Amino acid sequence: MLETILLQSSFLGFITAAALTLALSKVSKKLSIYFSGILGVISCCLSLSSSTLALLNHKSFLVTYQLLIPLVGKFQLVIDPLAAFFILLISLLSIPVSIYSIGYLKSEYINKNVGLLCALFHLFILSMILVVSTNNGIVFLILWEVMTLISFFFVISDTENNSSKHAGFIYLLMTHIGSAFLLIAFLILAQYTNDFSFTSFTQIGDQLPAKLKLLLFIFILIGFGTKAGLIPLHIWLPEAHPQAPSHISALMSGVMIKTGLYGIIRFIFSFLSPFPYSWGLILATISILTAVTAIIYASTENNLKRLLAFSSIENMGIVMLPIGSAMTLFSLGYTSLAAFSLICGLFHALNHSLFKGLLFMLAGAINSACHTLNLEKLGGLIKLMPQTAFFFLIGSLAICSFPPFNGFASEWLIFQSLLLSFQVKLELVKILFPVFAVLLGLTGTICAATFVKAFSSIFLALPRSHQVKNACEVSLSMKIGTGMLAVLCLTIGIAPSFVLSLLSKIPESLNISSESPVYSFNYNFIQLLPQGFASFSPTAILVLLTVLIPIGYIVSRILGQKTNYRKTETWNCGVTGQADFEYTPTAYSQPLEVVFSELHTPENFYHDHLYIPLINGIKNLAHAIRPIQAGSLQIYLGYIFITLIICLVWLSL
Amino acid sequence: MKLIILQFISLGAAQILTVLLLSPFINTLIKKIKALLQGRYGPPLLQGYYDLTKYFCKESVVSKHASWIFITTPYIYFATTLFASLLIPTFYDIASLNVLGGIILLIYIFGLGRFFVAIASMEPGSGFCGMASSREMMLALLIEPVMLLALFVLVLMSGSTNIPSIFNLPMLSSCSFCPFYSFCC
Repeated sequence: MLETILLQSSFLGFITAAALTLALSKVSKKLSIYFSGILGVISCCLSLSSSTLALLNHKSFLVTYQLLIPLVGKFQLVIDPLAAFFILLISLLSIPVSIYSIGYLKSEYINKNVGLLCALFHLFILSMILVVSTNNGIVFLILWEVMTLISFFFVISDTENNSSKHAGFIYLLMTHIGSAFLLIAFLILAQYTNDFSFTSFTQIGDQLPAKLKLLLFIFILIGFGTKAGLIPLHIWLPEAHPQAPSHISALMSGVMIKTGLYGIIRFIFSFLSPFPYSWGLILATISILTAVTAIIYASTENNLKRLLAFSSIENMGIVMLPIGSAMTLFSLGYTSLAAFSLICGLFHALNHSLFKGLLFMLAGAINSACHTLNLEKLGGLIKLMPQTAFFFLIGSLAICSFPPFNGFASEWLIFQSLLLSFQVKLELVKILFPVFAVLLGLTGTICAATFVKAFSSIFLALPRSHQVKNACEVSLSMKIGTGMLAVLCLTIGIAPSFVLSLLSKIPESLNISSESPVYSFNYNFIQLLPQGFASFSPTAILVLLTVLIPIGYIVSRILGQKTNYRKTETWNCGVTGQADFEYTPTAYSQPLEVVFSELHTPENFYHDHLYIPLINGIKNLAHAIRPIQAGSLQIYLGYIFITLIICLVWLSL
Repeated sequence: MKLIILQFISLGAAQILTVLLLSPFINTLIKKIKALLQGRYGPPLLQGYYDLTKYFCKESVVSKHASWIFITTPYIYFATTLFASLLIPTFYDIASLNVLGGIILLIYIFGLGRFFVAIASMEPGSGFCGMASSREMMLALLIEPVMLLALFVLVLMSGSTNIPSIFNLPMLSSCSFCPFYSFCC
């Protein structure tokens, strides 16, 4: 009951915030920004507490409005554990983003239409929460479109820039192709139930013919895969994310693309099960290929936001991988293992939203201080922006999944979920899953190389251009927003058990029963079963690391020179002009480019080999049917006549 | 409980000390064998200790463009190596340490150290350091998948990611250091 009230008041909060900021911006832009940030934090806290309560109580709850929608009836939301988890994910990231937006909008967008930006910001969060909690196919599609359109407005918000229009166009086009497939999928399902509500879709899988189910699976994969950025449907992501304002990029990358994940889980586990195990292998293979190729693109990218966008694609691959393995294991009958895999995937989704949100917001901070995101022009910012640099270091460590940060906790679990496949009796799974695990490891190392390059070329050594030399630390609200996320990355990293306890009941709500769970945990210790397979104690890792780090210092103090170090100029073969001698980011990733030259197809590879042939095919088809549209009235009348006759013949048969 | 903690700390300290004291010798031994195989004499077996003494007597010089990362990286790297030495049974098999995270933790702890070395070497802003850092990461990502594949085979055979269970594999008992040859890379 409390959950319902909290969620409803958060909805009210978002709508009030949107209306109020729009009205206030006519009076004072600054006031409107402050109101937007504060109301955003309050509303997100409300929805966060509502979803946390729902997850802790392990039960679904309803929110019903007396609002009648044609074809649908009453507007009703059903928040089951899966939806509650996604609401938690959305609200948890939106709190720091709201705080950050105060400083960011003040420094970057004060001369623009701030009221509209703030209002859309609240509507965007609201639409995402509604998408994951709605219980009706038609409402879902409408909200899905609303969410896409609002984010489209953000992508084209930079009106002076032509590339933003291009990016917006690609984004709109790709997401609409995805939506079209989703629409067809929903219509096919509705044919069998005569109803669009998710409750009637549940467990419809038994009634559907196998071929139709496969078709549905492909449509869902295309529809939601476009949003989630699975390769080769990812092409909009590196275009659109860099164009949006940074706090929106954080939300888009951290949360919005996760709605694709939500859709895939909802459709496949609730609606389409039972399904053949090969579906899971298909999804897992696509995911791991997405992860590996996307991170190779990221490693050679020199625009920070594009780099982060590619890394988002990579992380979506990592998130989808355990979902794929959960599907395989579920249909093979290993439900406990499947439940564990699913939890790993969702856990990584949460972690990714935190560190990617953090990194995108820091990219915004760097952009507002230096007015460039080109790695070739940045440098030396650690002295000018020490806090930003520190948070970026934490974000990098978390995204490269190094202990003791949250990325490591979830990646450790994903590795284990893949390695636990040794219990499966099917040879194909036994061979493929460890290979996936190895490729995941490869992704991790390339990710480390990528973020070493990003961090060192932005923050270390000397500035490479004049505009960077005058950079100064960003405002307090931006630091609080990013700092909160950095702290969260560490906290979840050392106490993942809390998140796991929230997640543990989600598989059951999706009918993946886990009678004998493969893991057990207490407050600082996770153990995988069978007994002694693996265990994980992140708190102890942190304690041990903090104990060991001073040892080196003590040893060097006792044995080494007692004097402090001497500071001097770096030797540069006797030439001055230090900044010109720095190793450039392009040079840094050049060996990678050489080694992966076969894989590192230029980005327009997909453009040339997939999209252009597709477009040409459609063009040719249009050309071929053009003679039918001759433009003369007699022919059209003839068509009507022929149709009439065919219809009459059809009816008489 | 107190006794267990005391035992743990003393064993851990003993393990760290053994590794610290022996590793210069083993490092030189490897160099010596390599040299002998190539038909050279190689360094004297205590060369590692001579080198260390020399380095400790030297003054440290830090580039004036460097920040706190450059100063703290040696300690972090040292700590990660010590951490790894605690996980691998060398002097004594500290079984209780396997609750930490097993073989995957070991790999990522090495990764953590490498990450800091790679960013610290970019600090002075010299072209040579950048090249070194780039190649370090490059080599790491070529080696790591191979190493993971080798290790995962052992994990699947022993049915556990805990390091002692991998050691106790019957086929490895004759050459129990096998899996860790791959770390030499």
